[in-house]
Amino acid sequence: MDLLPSADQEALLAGAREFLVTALPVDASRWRDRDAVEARALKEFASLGWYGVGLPEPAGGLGLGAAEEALLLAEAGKYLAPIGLLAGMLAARVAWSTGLQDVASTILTGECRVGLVIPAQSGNVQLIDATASEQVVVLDSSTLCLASCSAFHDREPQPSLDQGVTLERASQIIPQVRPCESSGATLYLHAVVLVCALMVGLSEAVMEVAVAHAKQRQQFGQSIGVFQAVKHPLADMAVRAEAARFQTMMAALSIADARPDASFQTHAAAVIAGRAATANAHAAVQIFGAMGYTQECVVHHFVKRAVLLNRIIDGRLKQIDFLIAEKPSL
Amino acid sequence: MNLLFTEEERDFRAEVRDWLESHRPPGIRPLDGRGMADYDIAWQRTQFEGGWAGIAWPVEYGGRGLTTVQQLIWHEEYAKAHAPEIGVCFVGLNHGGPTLIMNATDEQKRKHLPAILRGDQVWCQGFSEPGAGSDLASLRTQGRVEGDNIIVNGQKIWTSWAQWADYQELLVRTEPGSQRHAGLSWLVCDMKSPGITVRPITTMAGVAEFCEVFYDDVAIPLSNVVGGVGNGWRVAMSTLSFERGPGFMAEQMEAARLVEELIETAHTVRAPDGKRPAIQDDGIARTLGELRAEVTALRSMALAGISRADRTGTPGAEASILRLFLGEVVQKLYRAAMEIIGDESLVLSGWGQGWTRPYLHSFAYSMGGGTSEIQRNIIAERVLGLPRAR
Ligand SMILES: Cc1cc2nc3c(=O)[nH]c(=O)nc-3n(C[C@H](O)[C@H](O)[C@H](O)COP(=O)(O)OP(=O)(O)OC[C@H]3O[C@@H](n4cnc5c(N)ncnc54)[C@H](O)[C@@H]3O)c2cc1C
Repeated sequence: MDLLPSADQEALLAGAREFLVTALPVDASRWRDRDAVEARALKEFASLGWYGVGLPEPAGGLGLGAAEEALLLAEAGKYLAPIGLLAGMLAARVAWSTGLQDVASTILTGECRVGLVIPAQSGNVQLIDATASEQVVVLDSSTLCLASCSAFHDREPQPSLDQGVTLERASQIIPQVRPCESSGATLYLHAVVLVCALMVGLSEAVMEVAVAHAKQRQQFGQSIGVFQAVKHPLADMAVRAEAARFQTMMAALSIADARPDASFQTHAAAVIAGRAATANAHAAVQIFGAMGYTQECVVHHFVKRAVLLNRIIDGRLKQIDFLIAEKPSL
Repeated sequence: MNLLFTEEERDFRAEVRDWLESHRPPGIRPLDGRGMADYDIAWQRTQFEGGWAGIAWPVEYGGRGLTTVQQLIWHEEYAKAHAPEIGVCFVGLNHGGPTLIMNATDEQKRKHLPAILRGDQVWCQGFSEPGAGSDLASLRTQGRVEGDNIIVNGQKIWTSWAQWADYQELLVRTEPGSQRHAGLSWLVCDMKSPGITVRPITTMAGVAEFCEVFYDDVAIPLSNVVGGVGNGWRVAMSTLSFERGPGFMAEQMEAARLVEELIETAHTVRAPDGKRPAIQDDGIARTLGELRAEVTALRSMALAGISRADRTGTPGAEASILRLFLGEVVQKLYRAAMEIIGDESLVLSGWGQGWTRPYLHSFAYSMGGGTSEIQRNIIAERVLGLPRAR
């Protein structure tokens, strides 16, 4: 029993950090040229093998598991990685598990970019980052499917709250969607845990940004981090981030081992990580004062991404409903 | 990362389960009074005879010397078996004894360690004073060195179960005029010494859980100083560090069990509309779902804490994260229970039963062992590296 990364996993993470810090800086240079920066990063993720981290080696993957995927995405979440990374990992998994080896390999090599589709109210769907993609993963709570972007004929662009993605609305066109097999529920849990991992990274990174500001910003002749009204919300962020990280890793391990409580653990992770992302981002805005309210300050990107990630897994309330419907795990 | 237990660990779990199954004391632990202390001591003796006393203590001191993972298994099975809380034996086993192991002379160890394990010595902790709570270093109880003795005068307060204790870990100022952390000494105080007056204090939950202790020219032999005269702060810090660690698992498991019990309760009591079970009320269901997520996360955090301690040898300041979160979750749980049970919330329940008395008891969760505010200071300053106030 060990809930911390092994030496091999640490080495994997060190490589990931080295790449992420230059490929996806969370600063003005990123947003000025987002499309180009992220398109480049999405290609490089392919050469690093990220889309197939959890797939077996014969299928072109790295032969690791859900735990490594979660560790890596928690790192990527700190850098607000493009949604195409998550979508690509999920799409490769769906393609592989439904025997679409040709589709899988175009995703693994980065030739085929993937967006995300989530159900919206009144039978519509929302397409996230599908504009530059060929394929989309349809993320529904009962299953995951792959579809070609051309399956949605009435796509209508919408202003996106999160400036880091494009948003479109469409009516759902089921026939062209290739449904996957019985493993649908498992695939959904897998998707949820990966989103949780992104939220873990987000809640840690926004905390680090706020901590750095609290140390550096001086008022009343001292760092604002001396004041308990600043210090204590930061401590609460640390609690939420720690809870999110280890519950998410627990869920990822449960999925990797196909444990009977995998779905219990995963919905619990979604509830905890979903709150950590949102609440940490909210608290960070306040710690920055007026600066936190601007476009220029990075914090709003975290606020908006937290909203998006929670929505991708159908909202926290839905995850709570799933969890309360589970049998006790004791 | 992995969730796998080794074959030995699995065998160990089975052994623990069998033993607890057949030795766990029957009935409900008494609420208060001598009967409660006797119950706790008898249970300790049973554990001693079964070879389960001092599970975390090194074998050379009569303990079981379990690895942290084995301790985790013990606490998990302990909670599942509904074995009673440790009660009056807490201080001796969980921090008094370990402090002695780390800092005491051989003679001090011989005199106390085996007796603590057998349940023959109950210990209490005399650190807090009326003027020194969160700010422990401001303590003023005085110890004057006179010949072979230290003569103690002053007062301690909030000393849990002092009325049943044989010995006390007593922190006093032995250097006249010293300030703060300097000039303190950690003494083994025999609670039967002349000049000691113990006055129990009743909590809002109606239990005489802690006491005031007055010292009027109490003579304590110099040979009872642990770790040397003037080194009390260092020794006290080692005492406080033992309050953390895998023992925390027991509380987490208990919280998880209680959440499930509250969910069951919500299936039997009516929702506010009077028409359906409370669990069918969305607000109630979501509060319970959130609690379920939180106690589940607590377990994952506790496991991570064990992995961390295995790597570094100490629980670290991250232990404060667990403390703080546990306190919040437990209080939220009982506050939710009070709303869910409706008119039953007016009836005072027995100890360890129902929801109302434990609700009153839950206020202590954000105070004892360092308040939630102090935990936040520790997290902010030692985990996040924020500056201290001047
Ligand atoms: C059930 C129970 C059992 C106990 N058992 C023992 C025992 O066996 N032995 C023993 O020695 N002690 C024991 N204690 C005492 C416990 O350690 C103290 O209650 C605790 O350290 C707080 O001290 P205080 O009660 O004097 O509160 P105070 O220190 O007076 O605090 C009052 C309020 O002010 C806040 N506060 C104080 N300082 C700060 C600060 N720097 N920053 C922000 N907020 C601050 C506190 O958080 C709290 O909300 C026990 C307490 C309880 C509740």
